[in-house]
Amino acid sequence: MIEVTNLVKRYGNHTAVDRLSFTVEDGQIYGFLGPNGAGKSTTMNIMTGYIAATEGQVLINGHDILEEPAEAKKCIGYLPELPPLYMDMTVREYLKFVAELKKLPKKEHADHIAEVMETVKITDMADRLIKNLSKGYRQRVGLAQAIIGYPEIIILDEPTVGLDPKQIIEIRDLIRSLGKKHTVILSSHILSEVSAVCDQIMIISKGKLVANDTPEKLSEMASGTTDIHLEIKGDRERVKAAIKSCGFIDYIEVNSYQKDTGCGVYTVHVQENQDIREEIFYKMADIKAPILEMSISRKSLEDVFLELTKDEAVSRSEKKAKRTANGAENETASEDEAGTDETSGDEAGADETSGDKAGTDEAAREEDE
Amino acid sequence: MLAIYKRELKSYYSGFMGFVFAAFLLFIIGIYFTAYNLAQGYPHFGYALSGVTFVFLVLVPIITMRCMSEERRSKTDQLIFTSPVSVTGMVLGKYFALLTVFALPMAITCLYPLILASMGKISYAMAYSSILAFFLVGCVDLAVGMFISSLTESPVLAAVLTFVVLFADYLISGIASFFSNESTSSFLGFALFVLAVALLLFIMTKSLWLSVIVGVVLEAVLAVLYVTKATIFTGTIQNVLGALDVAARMDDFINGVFNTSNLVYLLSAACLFVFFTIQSVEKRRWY
Repeated sequence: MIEVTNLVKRYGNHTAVDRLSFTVEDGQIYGFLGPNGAGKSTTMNIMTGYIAATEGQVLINGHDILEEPAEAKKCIGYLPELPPLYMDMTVREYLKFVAELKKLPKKEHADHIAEVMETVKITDMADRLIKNLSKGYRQRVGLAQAIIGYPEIIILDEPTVGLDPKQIIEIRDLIRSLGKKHTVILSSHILSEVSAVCDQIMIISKGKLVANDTPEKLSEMASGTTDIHLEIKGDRERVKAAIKSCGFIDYIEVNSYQKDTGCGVYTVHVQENQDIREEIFYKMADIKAPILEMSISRKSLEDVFLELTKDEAVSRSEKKAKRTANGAENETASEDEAGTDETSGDEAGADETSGDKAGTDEAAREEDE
Repeated sequence: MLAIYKRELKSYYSGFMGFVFAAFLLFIIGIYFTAYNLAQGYPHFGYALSGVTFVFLVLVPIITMRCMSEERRSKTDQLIFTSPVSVTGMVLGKYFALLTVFALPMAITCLYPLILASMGKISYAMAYSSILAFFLVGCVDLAVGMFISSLTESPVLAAVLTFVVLFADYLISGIASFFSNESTSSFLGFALFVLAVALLLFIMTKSLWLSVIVGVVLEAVLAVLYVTKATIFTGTIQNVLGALDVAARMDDFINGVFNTSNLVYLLSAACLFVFFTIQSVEKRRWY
């Protein structure tokens, strides 16, 4: 178990890690997600004892990384961003050196190294000099180095960088199998990777923890905001009214409208994960407005990630304000459809409460910090 | 520590560095040995060794330049500092590997007095204590080189800096003789030194007040001492500079005096620079 409390790292005036606190439970795969320069590597370097934090504490299985480094570091295997390889050694020599560094019993060296090389599939390369290996194989040697001695906690900083797609899949499978026995923490700026492998995702932005949840829960955060993109030929107001009558509509945006042809491009924001494409089709058929194009885009983890790693609170409230303004505009645009307006108003209200909830969550988080 | 020692040693001898070091050292010692002892029939091997100290100027920067800086540049230090090895263990492992690379050719030079002995009567005690002193001077220079290597990420810069420092130390007795023996010159020399210290303090702490106060106080102390008791400044600068001359510690041994204070001087200087290396590595992790 790793407990990180109030971690701060400053480089001069620049704050790389800003009061980071989290707990890593045993036997799970954690994903550190964040854009470049978010402080992922710095955090990992501090957790593994490579650099010291300006403030805060890291406990590895109850051992402080600075007070009892030997005990704490025994529990950790670390693959940094750049695999720490000695170019003038062969793979076997290097792994033997690592085994000695980690103070494994000498008798087990040969068997253990053979086993680890088999796991990461570098047995064929065992007697080659590391400087003659390709980037992918170097990465694997780095990975082998991290899992030597089978430490309880394995920390991997961007483990799949520089690998070809086949190797990436292999490494992911390997990480998954490691996750059965070990606690694995991996960092990445590739979302699909993290959501494919990890049990728990921590999103870091500008040195702050902005989200810490399971991938499912994080996707849920985005629910209620399915967008349907439409291109419809027909009178703008009639089309809008017809769409509104489908229900579950948050609000409708008119992206473009050509008066002469009557073609309009609309984005319909739908509440919850409702699929109303069929209904729209029939409604449009009723009013004889042909649908030229229709596509659906559900908010994915990616949108959550983008939203969370933007300028955070500021942009969020801006977005909310923009949305309410849009809603108001829509209402005035369709005065005659009072009934549907009411429902859309209700929906907007519901949206606001969920928005408020997010807001309070945010406030709570800020208080925590 | 043992793992690091073994790795370092292997890397010195898997490349050509260890062999070049040994070959060059033995070559130069061989020339002096031939010229002084064999050709001229002089029975003191120490005499040849005392002429050889300049090889450290070339060999030490070459062997120590990558010692710490390369790890930092290639980020392999991340492996070492995240494994259960202390910084002290790492630095000592590296230092002992350096000493081993140096000790192997020195073991060969231990045969030279035996060669001499086959041609006549020599003093073994003098010859071997000279070899010991020569070895210890090398140990100090290696520690200095390792320390400088830990300050930078660039091996070339480390080599140049080490050369400059060792060269300055090599010339230091010559520099000392430029100063006049009078108290005034010593006083001025110290006054300049205090200014340099104050400037360094300012660069390091960025605190103008602290450096000005320290500078003024130290200058005042110097001035008071100079006014009240000028005699203590007589020849002081020569003494101070002379104390920094590492190679001069060999002289007594070569002349047949087993001077323990020189032994302590060399051992503690080596320990001091190993300690400095440890501190400089530790400091970098905190910056």
